[in-house]
Amino acid sequence: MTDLRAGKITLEDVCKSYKTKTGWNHVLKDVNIEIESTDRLGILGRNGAGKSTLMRIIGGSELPDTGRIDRQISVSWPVGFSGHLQPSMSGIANIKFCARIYGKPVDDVIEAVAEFSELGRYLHEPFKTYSSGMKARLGFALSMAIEFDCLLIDEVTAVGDAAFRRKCDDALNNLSENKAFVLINHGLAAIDRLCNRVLVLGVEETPFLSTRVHKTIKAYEKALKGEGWKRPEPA
Amino acid sequence: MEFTQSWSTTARVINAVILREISGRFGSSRLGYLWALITPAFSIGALYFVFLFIRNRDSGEIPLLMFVVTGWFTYGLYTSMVSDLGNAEGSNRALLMHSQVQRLDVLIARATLATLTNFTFFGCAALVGALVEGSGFPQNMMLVFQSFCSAGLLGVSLGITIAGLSTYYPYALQFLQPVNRIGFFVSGVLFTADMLPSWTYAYLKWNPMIHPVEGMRQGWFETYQSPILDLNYTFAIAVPLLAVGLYLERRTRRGIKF
Repeated sequence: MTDLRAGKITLEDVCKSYKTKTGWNHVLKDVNIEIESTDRLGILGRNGAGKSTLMRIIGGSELPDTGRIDRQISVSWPVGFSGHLQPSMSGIANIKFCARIYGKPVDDVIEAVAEFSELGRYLHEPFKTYSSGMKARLGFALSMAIEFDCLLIDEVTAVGDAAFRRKCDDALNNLSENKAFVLINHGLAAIDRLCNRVLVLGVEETPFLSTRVHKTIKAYEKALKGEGWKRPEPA
Repeated sequence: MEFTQSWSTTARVINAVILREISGRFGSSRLGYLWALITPAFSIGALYFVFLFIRNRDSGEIPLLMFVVTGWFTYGLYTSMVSDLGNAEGSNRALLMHSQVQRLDVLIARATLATLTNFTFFGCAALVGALVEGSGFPQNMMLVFQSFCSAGLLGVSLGITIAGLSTYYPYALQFLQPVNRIGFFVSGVLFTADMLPSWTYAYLKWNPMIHPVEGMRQGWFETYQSPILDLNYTFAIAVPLLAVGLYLERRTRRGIKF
């Protein structure tokens, strides 16, 4: 199905902080980005840099302390290992629930998920009995089947066997032109391969956004090794 | 148009959450949703036999089984509202990952499910009461309805308030549980007000849950006239509390705090 919607997600001056036992932790500061309907945005950052928080804010499951978010296109939930899926319910029951809340035909979504995830009879077993690889398969397949304009993918493609990872890569590569995704992945090669823009958190005062994906990843890798962060020159 | 679309999304989400709740709570059991009816039936049966044979409770001209059923059902509606709504976010946090799902949708879904479950159960129990004891159906349907609504509304108000407070105090519901357990013994489930000395009325009247229980019995049984019934008192507490609860819910939605 071709989606002809054109729109974008705009984040303006988004800030988020959490209260901890030792004081306020300012996770995100002055985030200003636009995600076009054709973007493939990778997010880089150390643990605790705010990658997942930013993803939840983009998805709408968490609100920022200050700032404005405008979503003109439909955005998925953050697709992780399990996240939103109810452990005591079967895979099928979870699929039905998601199809219902997004107003999609239940049978079509079940069929698409069954085909992509290749979970077979396990779809009738309680979700809590799934291995992490199976959870990732179901979560990813479900987000693809609902057909969002923008997918939020949090680490999920990093688990599972090689065949599943390849399948995820193919699926993301073959997304129609009017579909975007935001990808968090500690495997930097995946971001290098799949994304056309990259956002780096935690290396500068405010997030650094670049279209020079490969060079930014190299600079980020150096920063990780303690060699200091040097912003790549604009193209 | 946007407003209609928004309501249609809300209705779809509430419907999906209700089905998910039913599936999550009862889907793993062969008897499924029937468990919601069987569990209280055992408790009421046990209480009935205790009163019938051990304590030999004199419920006046009120049939004993329906005496237990009316009290249990009314108080049960209130407590299930409080615990289901107060715990709504704790047990459904993952659901809020979906931008379509608001916490208020989960609260409405849970309140609807608790109402339907209690209503169905009460209907079944009333039928059993009619068959076993030959007890009739409500003499004053309007009073029964008002009592039902006041118990439910008080539970909803307190449940929503607890759901909002849980953002600051995650154990708020745990503090309320012992109060509700004590409330079971002082809210007329096991007695009617006219069984007690008249000097206690001045104190009993302060309990907002005794009025729905008394109202249910006065509405159901022609022979019972409560000496303390005042449903306005319960509504006068429930309505402002609901406003406070909705305000807190709004302010603490998606993790926002003052």
